[in-house]
Amino acid sequence: MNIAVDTIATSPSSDAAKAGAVRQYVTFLVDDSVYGVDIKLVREIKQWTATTVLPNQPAHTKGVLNLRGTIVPVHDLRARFGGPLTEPTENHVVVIVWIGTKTVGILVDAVSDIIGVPSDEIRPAPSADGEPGGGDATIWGLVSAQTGMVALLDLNTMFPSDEGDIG
Amino acid sequence: MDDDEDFRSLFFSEARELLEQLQEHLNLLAEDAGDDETVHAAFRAVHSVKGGAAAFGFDVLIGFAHIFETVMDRIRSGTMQLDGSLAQTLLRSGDVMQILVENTESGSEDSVPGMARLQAELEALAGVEPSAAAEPAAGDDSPSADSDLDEDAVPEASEIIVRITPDESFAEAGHDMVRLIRSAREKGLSEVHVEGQVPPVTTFDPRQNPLTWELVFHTEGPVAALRSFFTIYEHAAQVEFLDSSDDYLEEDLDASDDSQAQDAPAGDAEPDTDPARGSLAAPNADASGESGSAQKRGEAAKSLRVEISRIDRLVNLVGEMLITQAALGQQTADIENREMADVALAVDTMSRQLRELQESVMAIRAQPVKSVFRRMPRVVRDLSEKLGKEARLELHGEHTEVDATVIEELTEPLTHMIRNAMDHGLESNDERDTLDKPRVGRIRLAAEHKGERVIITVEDDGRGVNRERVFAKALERGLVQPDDRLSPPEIDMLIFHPGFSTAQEVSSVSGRGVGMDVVKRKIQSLGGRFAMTSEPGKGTKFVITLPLTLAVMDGMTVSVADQKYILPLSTVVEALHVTRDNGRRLPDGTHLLERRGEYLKLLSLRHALDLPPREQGTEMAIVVDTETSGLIALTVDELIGQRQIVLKSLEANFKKINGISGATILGDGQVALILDIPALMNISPKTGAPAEVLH
Repeated sequence: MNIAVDTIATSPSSDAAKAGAVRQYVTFLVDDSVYGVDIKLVREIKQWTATTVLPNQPAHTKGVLNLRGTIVPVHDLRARFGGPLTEPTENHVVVIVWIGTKTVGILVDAVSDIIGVPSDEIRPAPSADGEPGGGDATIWGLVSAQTGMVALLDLNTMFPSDEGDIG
Repeated sequence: MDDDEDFRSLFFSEARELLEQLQEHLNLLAEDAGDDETVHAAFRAVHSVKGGAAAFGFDVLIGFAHIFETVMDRIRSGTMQLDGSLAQTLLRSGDVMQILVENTESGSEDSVPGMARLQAELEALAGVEPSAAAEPAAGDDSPSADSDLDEDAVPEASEIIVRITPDESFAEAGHDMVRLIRSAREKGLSEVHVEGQVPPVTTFDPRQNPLTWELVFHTEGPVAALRSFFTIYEHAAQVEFLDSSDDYLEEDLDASDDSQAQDAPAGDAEPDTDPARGSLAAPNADASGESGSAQKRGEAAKSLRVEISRIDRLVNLVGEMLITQAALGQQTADIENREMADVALAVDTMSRQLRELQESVMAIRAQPVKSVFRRMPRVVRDLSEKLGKEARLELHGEHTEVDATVIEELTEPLTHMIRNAMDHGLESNDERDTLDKPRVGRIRLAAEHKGERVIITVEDDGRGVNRERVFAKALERGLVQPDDRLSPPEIDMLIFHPGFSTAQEVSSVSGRGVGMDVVKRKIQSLGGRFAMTSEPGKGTKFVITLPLTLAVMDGMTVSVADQKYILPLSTVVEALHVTRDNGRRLPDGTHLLERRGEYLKLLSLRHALDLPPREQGTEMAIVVDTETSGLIALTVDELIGQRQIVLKSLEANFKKINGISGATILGDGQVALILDIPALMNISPKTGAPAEVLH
């Protein structure tokens, strides 16, 4: 059950042109929090399937899966934010994103929406917000959407592509 | 613009090839094995690269190539005698050209070490005053040269008019007015005027260049920068520098000239319809006119440049098909039905054809090891200069073909071994004299096929491993005990111990904090075997055996804690059940397995892979050959079977994981990890104790 996100219109809506550059974000849920990622970075959305466990990795790394012949790591977003490990079911969803040149999967509870956000409506996330993980800026901006606040993820900081060999 | 990019990359790939040929020719000349034709070929290579570089306005490269070419020309014409030291200078110049091309391609502006000195040397040889051409790269006046390039030394903008009338040889020399104008824009070109008449097409001679061009520059830089820009055109065109303002063309011409200037490139391009090809191919033809070039053209038509990624896709697909085919074969074999006999036969036939298809596809990607080998002379030259040791590198079997995936991975370990041989293996020239050895040390690098594997040998005739020192150092590092009695080969093996070479200790030459253990591990991660023999006073020999391809391998599937893992079949010796009778546990927690009266170390894969311990049930032990530490036994839950697997990279989207050499996709679409046994042993039990090497 793959949804090709590419087919969803990405052209900037004309009415928003006056409010500065509008970008679209895919939002998804983990518990009650809503997170967003630039739609251009989302490659596809996939139903959860069992992953292959990798040895000696941090708990939030669920393992790797086979994405049409390439090996893609999957990280548990809840656990990455210090929450308990997700016990994934068929209802869970893996958002496949580009991080630099790498393809990475993020395990979330559900995908909720695609929202268009003018750049001037993005508020910077307060720094040193006491996040587990050393206060690194994993959230680069906050947006108030109709349904509530959306935290925009900085994927590069969350899952740096050169995580080193600290195992 | 796209075209430009295409031509650019074409230029770089051709330049690389030309420079590689140049190195080969120069090597021959240095060994005094070349003839006149070799000199000509070397000259042509430099000349062609220069011509191509000129088309794109790569100033630094052009400047260096120009002086290099001048020297080659003098040798070619016999006004200069080629001797040993000159050959060395030329070889090093070839190296610099290679680095320059690499830098130009990557857009790096790093200065090339030793280039200024070499350029001065070449200039002296060519009898050119170093400052004359105001070469941007000349070391002596580099401050001002720098300013030529980017910042304005003369703050006031001045107007300079350059009149250029191309000669007949202009296009043949790889020049093209359109490109000249394009690159001149960066120099502050503001106007172009054209004079002359293009004859009708019927009488048009592409070599005749009927037009005279006036280029008006508004530049804040010194005139010298412009002069040097035009230097390269001087042999193929008349270049005049005119004073500004007084000689200015009448204004009424301007309007028509503008349109002409725009039309002109099309007209001018005619003699040279394919600028990039012309730029590189034409000089070849003009400098030689020999049979070689015609032959080359014939060859070119029979080969095809294909992006390696396309071939990779083919290789992967064929690999996947093999796996599917294996699953299909298994399923048809399970059906016991006479009517299925035909199906089974067809499946068999398909299997054979698939294997053949796979071999053909792999053959496309096979490359001669030459592409790695020919980098090594440069390594040796750099080091002989640095260490003050003369050495000769002999290459054998450069045409041995290996899969491109293996070739890429070979550069690093080979470089390291050559460095090691230069630094530790060979004695100094004087020392060799006193030892009655040939004064110049010898390193031999050879490749050959043997069955399904390729054998690469690195051999030197130096002093061999200094066993006393190695033992002393191992003692110091706590790798051995003072009363350990080791056989000479065992002592030699110590240099491969991960704890042996450390970053602080290593000399600047052979180590960047990388020890021979890394070389060995690299080779093993490629599925290769590594052996070393050393004889004191006679030399050291490393023998590497590698599979011909990394894309497909035979593996043994095992299961541990419901996960499937693959062991490279080449390492598997046998499988045993672990029972109460043959399993032993020592007081320190080490597990041993008795196998025909011999005790093997038993390593729990669950433990090494950080998986939960097993609650019950018997275990299997797989005896594997670690190549270096002898046999060990790995405990697994179940042995599933043998299969061919297609290697996939974990690093492409993730990172290197210790103990895992890669992954593969099983018939059911699940990913299985491939175990890297030597690495697993080193991370093994989290006791922190270094894994034992000697056994």
